[in-house]
Amino acid sequence: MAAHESARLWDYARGRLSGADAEAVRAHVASCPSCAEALAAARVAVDALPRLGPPPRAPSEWKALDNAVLERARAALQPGPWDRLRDALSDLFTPRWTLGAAVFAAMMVAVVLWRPEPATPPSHWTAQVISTPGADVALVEGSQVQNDADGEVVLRLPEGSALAVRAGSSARLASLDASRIRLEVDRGEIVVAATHRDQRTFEVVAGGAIVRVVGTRFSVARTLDGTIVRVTEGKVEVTAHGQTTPVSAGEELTVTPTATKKRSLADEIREELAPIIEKLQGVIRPTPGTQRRVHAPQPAPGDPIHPAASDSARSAGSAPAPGDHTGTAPAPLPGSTAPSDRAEIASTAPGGSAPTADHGAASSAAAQAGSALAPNNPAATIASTAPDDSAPAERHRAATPAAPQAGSALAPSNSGPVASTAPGDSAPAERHRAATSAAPQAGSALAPNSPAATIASTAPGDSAPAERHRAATSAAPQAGSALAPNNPAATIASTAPGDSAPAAGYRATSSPTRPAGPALAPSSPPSIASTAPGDSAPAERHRAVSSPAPQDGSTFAPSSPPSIASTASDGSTPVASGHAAGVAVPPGGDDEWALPPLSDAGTSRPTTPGRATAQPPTERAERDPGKQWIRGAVDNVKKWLDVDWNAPFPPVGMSMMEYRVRQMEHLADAGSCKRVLPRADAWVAEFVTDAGTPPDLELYRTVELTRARCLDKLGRHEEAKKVRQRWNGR
Amino acid sequence: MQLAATWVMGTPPPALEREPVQADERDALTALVARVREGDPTAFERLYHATRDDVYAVLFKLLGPSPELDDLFQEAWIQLIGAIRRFRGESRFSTFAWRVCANVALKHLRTRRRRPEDLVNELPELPAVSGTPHDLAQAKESAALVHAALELLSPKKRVVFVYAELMEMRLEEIAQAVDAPLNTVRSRLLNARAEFPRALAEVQRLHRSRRPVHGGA
Repeated sequence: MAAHESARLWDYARGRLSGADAEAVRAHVASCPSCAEALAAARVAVDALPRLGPPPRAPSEWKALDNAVLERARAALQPGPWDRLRDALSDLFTPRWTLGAAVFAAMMVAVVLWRPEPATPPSHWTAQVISTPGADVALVEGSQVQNDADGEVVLRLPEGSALAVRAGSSARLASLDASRIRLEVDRGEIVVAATHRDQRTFEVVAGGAIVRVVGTRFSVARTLDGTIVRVTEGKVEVTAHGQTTPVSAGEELTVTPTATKKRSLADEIREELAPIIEKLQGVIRPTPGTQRRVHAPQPAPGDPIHPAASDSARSAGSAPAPGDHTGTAPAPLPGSTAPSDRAEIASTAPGGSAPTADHGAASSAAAQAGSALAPNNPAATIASTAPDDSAPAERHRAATPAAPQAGSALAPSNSGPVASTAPGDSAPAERHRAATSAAPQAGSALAPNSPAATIASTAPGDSAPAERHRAATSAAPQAGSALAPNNPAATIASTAPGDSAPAAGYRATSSPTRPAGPALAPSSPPSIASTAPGDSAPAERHRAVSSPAPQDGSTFAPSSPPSIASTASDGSTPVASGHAAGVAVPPGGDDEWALPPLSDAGTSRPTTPGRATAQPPTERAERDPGKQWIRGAVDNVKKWLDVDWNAPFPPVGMSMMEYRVRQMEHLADAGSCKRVLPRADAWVAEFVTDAGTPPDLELYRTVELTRARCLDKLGRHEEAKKVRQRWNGR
Repeated sequence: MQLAATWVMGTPPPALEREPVQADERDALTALVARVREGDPTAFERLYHATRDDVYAVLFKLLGPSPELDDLFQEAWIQLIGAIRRFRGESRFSTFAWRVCANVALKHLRTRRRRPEDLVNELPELPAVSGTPHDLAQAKESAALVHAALELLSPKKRVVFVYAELMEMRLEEIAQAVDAPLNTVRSRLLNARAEFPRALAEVQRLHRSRRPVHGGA
C-alpha cells in the first residue's frame, strides 16, 4: 500500500485536486481504511466550515463603529513634523537594513576619525612649595627645584608626601603622576617623607641609583663619593649596578660608581636629619592629589590695611622697625581660613629666628592674603629674609599706601601704591624692600595709566650691602622699572643697578599668584621677577622657581603669560602658571574662588613644621569601590563586635541561639562565671537532649568550652579538663 | 481578495469559487493608501468603507461570535491607522490588513482560552438568516459547533487554518500575514487540518451528550 494521503485528503475533500491527483487519492482511500476514515471526518469538517461567516449588520449597527474608527483616524492621520521626518527617513532607509548599515558606517567613521585628546595632567598634580602664608607657588611635572641658600626648600608632593631640598641642592620633579612620583637629584641632598600609597611608585634617582620607596623617611644625597641613601624610618630599595639592595631604618647605603656599601647611620647624621624630618612631618598630607583652596575674605572697598594683617605679618617674623617707612607686608586675616593652604614656600634663613614663614616668595604675598590690601590699593608685596638677617623686624615690607614717606612718590593717576626709599636712604636696617618708589629718582617709572602696578626697587644709592633679598627685579631698561600703559596690574620688583649686594639671597622668582586680591585685575598678567643687569649677586640662593624668559633686564610684554616659580624641564616657557598653582585670577571676584569639594577642605592645616596633622581618609579609598566594600565590611564587623549583650533580642542577622551562646561567652569573658555556668549546663543539656546531634556543632563547642573556662575559674579543673579533652579529640 | 463577500448561509460557499483578485481593485486600494499617507482626510474614509466588511469578517472567522468583536474591530483599525504610514505598498493592502487582524486575534486568543465543556455550554447565538425553521436551527447549531471546534485549536494553528480554509489564502500570503516562515505555516496548517475534525467530533459528542432528551414516558 502506498503512503498515506493525509496531506492531500483535505484538498481532495474540498475538490481542489486535479483529475490525476484526485484519482490517486481516491484509489488510496479505497484501499486504506484509516485514510477513508480521515477523509470522512474531513468531509464533515469541510461541510461545516463554509457556514461560518459574520451575520449581516444593519447600517445602524455599523454607524457607531464607523464613527468611532473614523474619528480616531482623523485625529491620528494628521501628519505632524515628526511624522514627516519619520516618513522621510523611512523612505530614505528602504529597505530597513540600510538604516542599520548607515548607523554602523557612521560609527566606524567616528571610530576612525576619533583621536583621543592627549592626556594632560590635572592641575592639581603639582607640587606645592610650602612657605609662609602669602606665597602660592606650585610646581608642575618637570620643574627644577634649586636651592642655593642655606636653608631648605620644602615641597609637598601631590600625593601628600613631603620633600626638602637642602641647601646647595637641586632636584627635578621628573614625574608627578598620581601613580608615579619620580624625583631626580642633580646635586646635593634631598630629604623625603613619603606617604604610603598602594598603587603608587615613588622613586628617587640620584646618580646611578634608583631608590624605591614605600612610606618612609629617608634622604638621598649626591656627593663626590657617590650617592648616599640614608633611611631614618621604614625601608627603601636601592637599585644600583643591576642589583637591588634593601635599606632599612638606621642604615645608610653609599652607591659609588663601582660598588655599593651599607653601614649604620651615624648619630650625627641622624641628628642632622631629625629637624628636617620633623619639618616634613608637618607638611606631609595623606590625601593625594588635593590642593585645597581657601576662600579668602574679600576686603571692603577702600578698606585700609587690616590691623590684624600687620599683626599677622609680625607674627610671621617681622616687626616693623622704627625706621621702616615702606610699610608692612600684609598678612592673612586671622579669620581667613588658611592662607597656608595655598601654596607656600618654606625656607629658613640661617639668621632668621623663625625657621619658616619668613620668606614671601614673591610679590604676591599681599595678594595671597587677599584681605590686607584694599581694592584701590593694589600693590603687591615682596618680603624676604636675608640669610644673615639678624633683624627679623625688617623682613616683611610691602608697598602700602602709607608708603610715600622716605622719599617715595606716587604718580597722580597711579592708583597702585609705590613704596620707595630715597636715594639717600641707605640705612642698613632697610634691607628688604619689596616695593620701592616709582619716582624717577628711584630709577623707576610708572606709566600714568598703570593703575595697579607696583614697582619695587631700590634707589641707586641704596647700596647697602644688606639689600639682599628681592623677590623680583625690574624689567625696566634702566635701574628702575617701566610698565607699559596697557599692563595695568603687573608687579615688577627690581633692584637698582647699583645694588651690588653680595648676596641676593632669596629669589623665589615668581609671584604672580594673587588670585583674588585687588592688586591684579582679572586680565592682568602676573608679575615677572628678574634681576636687573647690575644685579650680579653671586648667590641667588633660594630659587624655588626660576623664570626663564625674563632674564636680565627683562621686558614685560602685556600679553606675557604669568610667570611662576618653576621651569619646565625643557627650559621653555614657565609651565607652572598661575592656573596650575590654583591661583588664576577669577573673573568675577572672590566668589569665583569657591573651594572644590574636598573632604578636608574645611580644615585649615597648620603649616607649622613639626606639627603632625590629622589624617583624613584618603581620597583613593573613598573612590575605590573595593575599599569602600572593605570599609563597609569592617564597619559591619565592628557593629557585630559592638553587640549590646544586655539586649533581649539579637542584632539583625544573628540567630537567637547564637546570640544566647555569644552572650554567655561574653559574660564569661567579663568574669561572671557563676552566672554563666548554670546557663551553660542547661544549654549543654538542651543541645544533647534536643537532637542527639546538636543543631550547630560550632555553637555547641563554644558552649562547652565556655563552660570549661568557667569551671576552671571556679576551681573545678578536673571537670574542665574532661570537657576540653572531649573537644580536643574532635 | 474577497471584498464585500455576500455569502448567505445555506448557499454554496463562494470561497470555493474563488474569484481572481482584480488588479484594478488592488490598484485602487493602493492608491487610497498612498493618499492616506499623504494626509488626504477623505482617502481613509473611502479605504475604510471599502475594506470594513472584510476586516470584520476576518475577525469574526478568527474569533467567532464574540461579544468583544466590535471592540476588537476597533482595535484592529486603530492598529491599521497607526501602521498605515509604514505601509510601503510592497505587498497588497489586504495582506497588510490580515496581518494586523491576525495580531489582534492572536493577542485576544492568548488571553482567552476556554474548556470545550464551557464552549459547548455557551454555544453562541447565531442570527438566523433564511430557510425553514429546522434548517435554520441546524445551521445555527452547526456553526456554533464549528466555532467551538476552532476554539480547541491553538491560536497560531487556528489563524493559519482560518486563513487557509475560510479565507482561501495561499500559503505565501498566510506566511506574510502571520509573519512566519512558509514551512512553519505549512506545518501548522497540516496539524490544524488533522486536529480540526477531531475537535469537531469532540464538541459534537459533548453537545449530543448534553442535549436534552425529548419524548419518552
